[in-house]
Amino acid sequence: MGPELGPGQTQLAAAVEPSSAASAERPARAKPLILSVDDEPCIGRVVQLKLQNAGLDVCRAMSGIEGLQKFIELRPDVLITDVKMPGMTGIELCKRCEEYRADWPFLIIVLTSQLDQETQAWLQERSKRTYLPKPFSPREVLRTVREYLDRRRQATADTEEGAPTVAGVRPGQTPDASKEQT
Amino acid sequence: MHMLTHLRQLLQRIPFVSVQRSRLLNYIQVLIALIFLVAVTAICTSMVKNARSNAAKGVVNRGAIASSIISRAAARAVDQPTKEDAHAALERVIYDIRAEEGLEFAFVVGPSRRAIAHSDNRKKGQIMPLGLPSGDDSNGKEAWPEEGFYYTTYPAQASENAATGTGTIYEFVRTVNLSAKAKGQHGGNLELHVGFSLPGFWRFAGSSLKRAAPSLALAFLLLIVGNYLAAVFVRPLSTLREETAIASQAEDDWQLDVDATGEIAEIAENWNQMVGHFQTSYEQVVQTRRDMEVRNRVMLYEKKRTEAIVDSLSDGVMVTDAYGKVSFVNREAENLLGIERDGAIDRRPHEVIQDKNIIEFVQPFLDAAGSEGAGSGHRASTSGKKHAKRAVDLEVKRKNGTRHFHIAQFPVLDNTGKPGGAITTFRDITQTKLEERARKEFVSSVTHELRAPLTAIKSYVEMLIDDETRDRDLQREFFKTINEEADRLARLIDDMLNMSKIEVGNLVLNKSIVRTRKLIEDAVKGVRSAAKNKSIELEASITEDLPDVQADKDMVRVVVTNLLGNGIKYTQEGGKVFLNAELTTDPASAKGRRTIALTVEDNGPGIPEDELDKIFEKFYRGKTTAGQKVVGNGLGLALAREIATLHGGDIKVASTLGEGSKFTFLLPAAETSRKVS
Repeated sequence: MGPELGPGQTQLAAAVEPSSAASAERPARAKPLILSVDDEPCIGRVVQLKLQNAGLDVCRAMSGIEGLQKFIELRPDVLITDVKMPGMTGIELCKRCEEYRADWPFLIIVLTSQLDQETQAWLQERSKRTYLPKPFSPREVLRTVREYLDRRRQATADTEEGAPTVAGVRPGQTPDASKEQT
Repeated sequence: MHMLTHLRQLLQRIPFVSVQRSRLLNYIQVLIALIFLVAVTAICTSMVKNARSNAAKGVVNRGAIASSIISRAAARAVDQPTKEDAHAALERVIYDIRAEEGLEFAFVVGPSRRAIAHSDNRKKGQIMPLGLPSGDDSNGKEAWPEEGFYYTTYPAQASENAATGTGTIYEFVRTVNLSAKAKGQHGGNLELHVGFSLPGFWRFAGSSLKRAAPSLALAFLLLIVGNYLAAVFVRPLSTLREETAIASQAEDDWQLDVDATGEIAEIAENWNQMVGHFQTSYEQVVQTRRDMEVRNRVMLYEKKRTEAIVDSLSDGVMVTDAYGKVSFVNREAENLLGIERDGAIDRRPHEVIQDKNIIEFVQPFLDAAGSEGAGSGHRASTSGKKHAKRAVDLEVKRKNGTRHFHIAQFPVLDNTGKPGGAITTFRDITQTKLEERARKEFVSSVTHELRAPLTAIKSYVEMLIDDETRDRDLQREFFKTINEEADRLARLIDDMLNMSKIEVGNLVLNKSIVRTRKLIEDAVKGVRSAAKNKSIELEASITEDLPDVQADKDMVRVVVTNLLGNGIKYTQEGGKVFLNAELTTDPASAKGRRTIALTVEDNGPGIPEDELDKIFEKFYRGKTTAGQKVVGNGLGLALAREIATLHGGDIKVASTLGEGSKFTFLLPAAETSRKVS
């Protein structure tokens, strides 16, 4: 089970700002970390369970602002988020998170039933954003995460001359734009 | 005459005299006539007297001449050889004189006093007086210069000659100086007496009249003729004058009634013809004027009616003429544009309309239409577009916030088919826009709300199928979640159905006896998990004596659930929601009707005062303190109030910003309802 903040701790999220302190050190971990943000507890629960069963670390957040706080703190490899949430929406969250593109590689998976023009336009803005329509299949979520991690592992192996790491990217490593091309 | 006029005027001023004025005037006229007569008489008398006095002088002259001639002739006659011859000759002389006009008598007497010769033969030989008889006038004795000549006058009555009548006798006495021989023969000189008569005044006047008779007759004739002429000309003229004076004052009958002939009659006839023409023309004018008045009234009525119709339109209407000036603005346009009709007429729209967006849309069309109407050249390619209707939706900043206007412009073509102005309509579509937006949000919200439980169910089922939940407890948890989400989905569908029923207006209550206490407890249980998820403390206090009521169970549950759900939704984590249900008497009811008061109180952010009414509107969505929207369909309170009202109750709200809100659901408890165990 990944770290899970209590609902009361969302109040702290307001103070969260992108800071150099947060990005300075990234905890080394054997397994990739997935951050799931959804205001519906049962959705977060099912995503968490599916990915944990597949051997991945998952942490959950119940709101956009909590999600941003955890994203900066934990530097996850994949961010899975809902769009329609009270307070900070999924789109706002993603925009804030994308400010850290240069710091470490990550994938954003948007789970949404809300496919209005605004959201669609935003989703198509960058290819690095993947979206899965609700009602979603947990299998699809796992597959998408796996594909991304495999592709990245492959890319890392290529650039580091056949020295594949188990998972993720070392801290301080300069992110290469090419490896994130999907 | 001037005085008379004055008098007449004076008399006319005295009211009681004026009645008899005409008779009085007649008297005056008679008086004037009398005075005139007296004057004429006096003048005539004086004239006659004067003439008679002249005649008297003539008589004296003639007497003197005649007596002188006769005395000489007598002297010669007497010188005859014999006495008898002398007498005969003397008689002849006397006789010859008889024819003299006015001669009364003539005789000669000798010293014997016997008349030797007499104009009256019968008196020949009679004793005649010698010398001058005593008379009225003895002036002649002195006045007459000749020796031996005298005359005297005396009234004719004294005379023996009856033929003279009244009058005066002039008797002339002259001595006939005889020759010595004759003197000896006759015994001395002879005396000649000649008498002339002067008629009396009346007789003289009569004879004068006789003399003047032809001229008088002529004068009289002239008078009659003059009078006739006056009657012929002057009287009709006077009548004409009077008639025209009357006619000129008349209201409608200007015809003259003049009894005349000739030119006057012609004038009157011409007048009457002219008046006839005038009258016909006048009647035509009056008729035309009447027609025009009727037409004007009809037009005015039509105009007013059209204005009333246009005024009653819910759209603003502004009419501009070919010069782009405002010619009409209806009431709604005044409201929407914030202008005054009187101030806008005859001015250009950009001079009266404040909003730039509106002017930008409206003005080019008017300019184009106006300049083309004024004959300015335009490209043929664009002129076609100008004649077409154009419309736009604009945002307009107003004092009470942003409004949305739908503005349309239609060209108005005049008789010749040229642009003669434009009609611009304004419609406030703010409400429509808001509703449209709310509906979109609602659809989006409903989509989300429907998909959320569906997503949960689908993903959970897939997990179970994939055997990801080997743990039995986990499986139980999953099944339970699926069940809850299915319930949620069902509830949502119910809400939407009820909502659509409200929309259509045929929400019918399915009443039965409702165990209120149980119902409320169930509703509290239903939201407890949601409260737990937000760490909200949920407390419920339900009095034991709460009666059962006749109500629609499902509907009442919807109300309670919605109120509790809202309390939880809008209260921040760690907050508190408190439900209280008790039996009260409705203060609004005069009978003190028993009412169940269910209160849901939270310590959330509260509701701003200006939003207290809006929260019951459909699709209205409250905001949290941070201005964030809370997930929901915006139907909860609208539905709750509708249901409460259908039950004869109400939902009231009280809120203090920053402290919390308190919703009270008043549900009337029927008097006849019995407690069902």
